Order: sequence, then C-alpha cells, then structure tokens
Amino acid sequence: MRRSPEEASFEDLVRSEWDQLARTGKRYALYRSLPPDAGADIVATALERVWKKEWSTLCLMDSSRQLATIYRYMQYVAQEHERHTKRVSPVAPEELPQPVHHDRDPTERLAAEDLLTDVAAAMGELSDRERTVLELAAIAGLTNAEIAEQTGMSRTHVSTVLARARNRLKDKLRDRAQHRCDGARLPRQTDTGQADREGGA
Amino acid sequence: MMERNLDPMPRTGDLDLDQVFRETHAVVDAVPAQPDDIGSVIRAVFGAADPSDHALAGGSGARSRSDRDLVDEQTLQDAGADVDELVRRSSPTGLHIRRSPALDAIGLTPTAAAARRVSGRIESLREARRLVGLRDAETLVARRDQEYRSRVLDAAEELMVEEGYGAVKMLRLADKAGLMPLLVIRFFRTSNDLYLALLQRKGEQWLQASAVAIASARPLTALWDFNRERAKLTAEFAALADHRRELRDEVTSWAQRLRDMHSEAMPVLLIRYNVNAASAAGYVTLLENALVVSPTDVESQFMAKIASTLAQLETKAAVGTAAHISLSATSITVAGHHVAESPDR
Repeated sequence: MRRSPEEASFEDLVRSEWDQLARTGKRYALYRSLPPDAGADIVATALERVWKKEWSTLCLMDSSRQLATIYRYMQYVAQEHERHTKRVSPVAPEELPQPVHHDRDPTERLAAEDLLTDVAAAMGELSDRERTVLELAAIAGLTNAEIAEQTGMSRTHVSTVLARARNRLKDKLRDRAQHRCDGARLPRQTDTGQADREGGA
Repeated sequence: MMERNLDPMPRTGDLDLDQVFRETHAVVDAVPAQPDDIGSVIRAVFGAADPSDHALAGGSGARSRSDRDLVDEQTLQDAGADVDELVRRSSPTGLHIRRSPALDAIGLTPTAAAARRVSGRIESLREARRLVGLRDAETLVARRDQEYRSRVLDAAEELMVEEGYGAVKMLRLADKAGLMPLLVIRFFRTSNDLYLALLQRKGEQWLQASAVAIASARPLTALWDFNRERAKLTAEFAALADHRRELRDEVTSWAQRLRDMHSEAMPVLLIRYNVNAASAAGYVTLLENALVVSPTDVESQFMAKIASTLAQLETKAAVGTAAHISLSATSITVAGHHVAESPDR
C-alpha cells in the first residue's frame, strides 16, 4: 500500500512522541475530573483532527511546532469532552479511580488526592481563556511564545493572562485550604497585579 | 499552635504554585490507565481522511463562542483582510483556489459568510488564527509546490534511466512520486513540459558536474566517468529529440553547451600531460565513447582500454614521468606500441 510522505512523517511523530502524548492526554482528563481512559480518547480525536485539518501544511514545520499544535487541539478536545459528559451526568469526585501510592504515607496520600481535587475544581472556576493558557503552560508545557503562536494572542498578552490565571488559582486554592482547616488562617497574599513574582510557567 | 492536619498547603508565606503542580502531576501520572494501541489509533486517523491537495484544505471548523474570547483586538485588526484578498494571496502559484475551499479553510461555510457579509469583519479565533497562518501559507505553499515538483522530476528521471522514456506515463509517475495524478498534471501540463523541465534541470547539473570534474585532480578520468554515468539519460534525450520536433532544439543546444565546455577546457588540461593542444578535439571525441549505452563486446573492450590508459596517463603525470601515451579519437598508442583501435561503428 502506498504511503505518502505526509502519512510517514505524521506516523513517525506520533510513534516517537507517543508516551508523552498519552501522558498529557491523561493529565488533561484528570485535571477536568474525567476518567483517565478519556485521555486516550482525547489524544485520538485530537490526532485525527490535526491530520485532517493541519497536516498538509504542518508537515513542513519543525516538530516542536507540530507538537504544540497537537497539544492545543488536545486541550480543546478535553474541554469539549468535559462539557459534553458533564452535561449528561457530572462525575462525583468519589467515583474517580484513586491513584495508588504504595510508598507514600497514607496521610500524605490523602492529602495529595485532595490537592488534585482542589486544583481541578479551582481550575474549573477560571475563565475559558485563563484556563486554556494555564493548561497549555502547566499541563502541556508550552512556552509563552508557543502559546502565543497557537492561540493567536500576542506574547505579552499571554504572559498577562497566565499571570492572572496563576494568581487567581492561588487565591482559590488558599480559600479552599482555609475552608478545610477550620479555624486556621493563612496569610492572604495581596494581588501583585500583572507581574507574577514566580514567573511564567 | 496549629494542629497537624491533612492540609498540604504551606502554613506561612507564599503559596508555591509550581510545587503544587508538581505534586498534582505526580498524582495524575501515577493513575493507571489503558492507553490506546498506537497502531489502531494511526489506522483510525488515516482511515478518516486524506489531507487533500488543494492548498489550505480543512474541514469546516466548529466555531465556539469561547474562541471569541481568545482573540485580542490586535489580532482581529491584523486579520481583518477581505476574503477575496485572502484567496488571492493564498494562491501564489496560480493553483486556483475556489472561494468555498478558502472559506472552508477559515471555518466559514459560504452561506454563513454571505449572511454575515464578511468583508473585514472576522469574528472567531480560528479564523484569525488561520488568517495569520495563511500569511505564512504563501511561503509554505510555494515551498511545498517546489518539493512536489522536484519529486515528480526525480521519478521521471528514474523511470527514464531504468526503462526508457516510454515508461514515463502520468499514472506511473504519480505512483512513483507518491502524489496524486491530478497534481502531476498541474505541474506539467504536457509530457513535453515535463521533458523540458527535466532537460533543464539535468543540463544545469551536468554543466556543474563537468566543471567539478575539470577542476579535479584527475580530470580526464573524471570526465570519462561522468560521461559513463550520464550515458543512458543522454541517449534517452537524444531519442526524444529524434521523435519530437518540439524538443529537438533544446536537446541539441544543451548537448552543444556541454561539448563546448569540454572542448574549451581540454587544451589546458592536456598541457600537464605534455600532449599537443591540437589533439584536444580528438580527446573530446575519445571521451564521448563513454556515452555508448549497450556496448558490444568489442566496444566494451575498447572502452576498458580507454579507461585504463587514461588512468595510466594521469597516474604517470601525477608522479611526473612522461607516459609516452598517445590517444587520438580512434586509436591508442602506448610507448610506441599500437594498443587499440576504435571498432567500426
């Protein structure tokens, strides 16, 4: 069967980056409180769309650009997934499979799982734009320049939005932690505005 | 004093978001899951559709409201081109892009465009992104066209060398080049177009290769080998010129240019072998014996003799001894002994 160079280059990329793609797909799923197997769906759908819509020109670009595009598509597919499934039947946190850490102290383990639930819930409260930029940065690991290229925003705008997203996320997490430790009060960070002291992701 | 509780947050000071993500990533990555089998994913993807070959083809994108949030004003302004301007800019090579694939590529169906009277009013991120991408697309399309064109020429060359110019047929070419037949036609409307393009390409390549050979340490042997290498293709072009009047002039002009280059260089080369410059023309003709395509036994022997004599000549010249070798268009004499005679052709 004749294999065009486009097919070959696409397949080569997918095969060589498969572990990374699968892992990122799972992350996108779990940070939206979707079952981890949804990650595989996300990867497959995104790959299909990239192949159909972008590959004829994307195959000429370098692999980092190709990967960034795939990650952007995956982020969008994950969003669609969540909106579709949550509309039907929202998944309660208890029903998600619990990660197994044999080596960690049970106290720590519980804490870590709570942390994931908190982070996922807090991210759900961000605006679409903030969440997209944050996910591309923190989950897919794109640089600000790559995010700017993929979303069509300017680089400064990406930095601004990312900083704002991180600050809001921090505040939300702090609020939740506050909720949980009844009575304990954590120092509240004053908003430093656009400059994010910790730098971009 | 705060009691120890399940709260993982630091109790004082700043909240380290990067650390938080590190921990949650660790949790997430440890969750067991069944990833798809790569093979079946790839098969499913390719089974779905081809990236078809009118430039910038895409599926119609579903534009979601949230896309609009992602566009900033600057991008909208940058991307505020007229759709027709878009179409014009996106077909630099004259490939005709009809309006509907162009609109399709930017995520609009023609009716939606008509309904919204698109003309500078672009609304969704996808459109903006694609428009920004399309500005780069000009170079991408041109580059891709060049690549495809040279693939077709490579395939044509291979077929001509292996099976003769009769084997150069559109479907065969498309298959060998890995492209759609439609594309082959787009680049080369008639077979003469193809042959002319190939002739042009090979002609230039051969002139360059000759220059390299002439400048090398053993130019006579290099030129001999060069002629051997191009024998088959040269013969095919000659046959083509014979059968097709339109190609005749072009083929003969390239052949003449090549021969002229060799003839001009030859007297200078012969100086280092202590050969009379007057025999230059004879040497050029002698070297053209290499262009025989299916030599008979006698011809093969003669050719072998030429090759080895040239090698001797050049080796001796390299070490500074006189070779007492005399070659003419028709005979080879070494140290006074007549060694070989050109077979009657």
